[in-house]
Amino acid sequence: MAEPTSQALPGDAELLAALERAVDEVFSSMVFAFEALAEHRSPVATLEKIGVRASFDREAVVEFRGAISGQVVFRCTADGAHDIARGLLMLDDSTALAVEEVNDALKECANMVTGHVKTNVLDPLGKFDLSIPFMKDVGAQVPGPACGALVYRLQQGLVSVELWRRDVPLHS
Amino acid sequence: MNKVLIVDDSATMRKIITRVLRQAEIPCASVVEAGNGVEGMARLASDPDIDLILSDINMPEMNGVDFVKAVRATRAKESLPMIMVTTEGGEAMMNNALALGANGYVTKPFTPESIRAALEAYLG
Repeated sequence: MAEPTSQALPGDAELLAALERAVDEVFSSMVFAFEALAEHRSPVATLEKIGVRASFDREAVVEFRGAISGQVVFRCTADGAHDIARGLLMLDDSTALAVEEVNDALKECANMVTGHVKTNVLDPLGKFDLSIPFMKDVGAQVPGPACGALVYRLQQGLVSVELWRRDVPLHS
Repeated sequence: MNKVLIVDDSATMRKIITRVLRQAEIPCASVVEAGNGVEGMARLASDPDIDLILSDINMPEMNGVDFVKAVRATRAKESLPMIMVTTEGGEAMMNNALALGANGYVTKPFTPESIRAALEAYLG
């Protein structure tokens, strides 16, 4: 059971703004080039409408649970996932990476961003738990309303960082 | 020179921490790794030369808080410096880890400077 909180729960706009600050800090300090796209801060439904989601081939997820529950989803093109892995590991474009290495880097990136949101926005509301980051089948439906998505162009690929609200048991 | 044990379920993060230790010019003779608290305890039991532990908190099997408890319950390791390296910088979580016997913490994402500041007092 989530602990009761006397504070007003954050709305979607506040959560998305916190997500954007987290992405900015993690991406800039973990050394990879990124640029917000024109679709930046568009709702997920809009992304799907314009067909951006269709080109994404892997997803890393971290769930949070407390006074509000949901998940942060990193949806990447293949190149975008490699950009993140190479950035985190400070490798050049010529270095080959195994799928496991790319997925692990993507999960760790999602973990850092979600941890930043938890520390700065969720923790003041009461006790929150984060799941261990995990990979999800591409295209699997995420139940519940999406707060929105932040879409970034990386060195060669794209990443959509999405925030969804829902109330389901934590993945473990 | 020092031997550092890095405990984190992410191989990526273990590599990043190892790299940052070098960038921060921390004088490490060697770095050894474990993927969670259970593996960390096994590594400590088999390697008596470890001088310092850097540990994540959110890990499967045995998380970082339980790992601190387990290390501190081991008499031979009760004074071994432990620094938590975590995405969760919340005050309650950190106070809990410190109360159980952690010596300090660094929040991810970190810089060579923040790692150096956290470790300086403990490494020769």
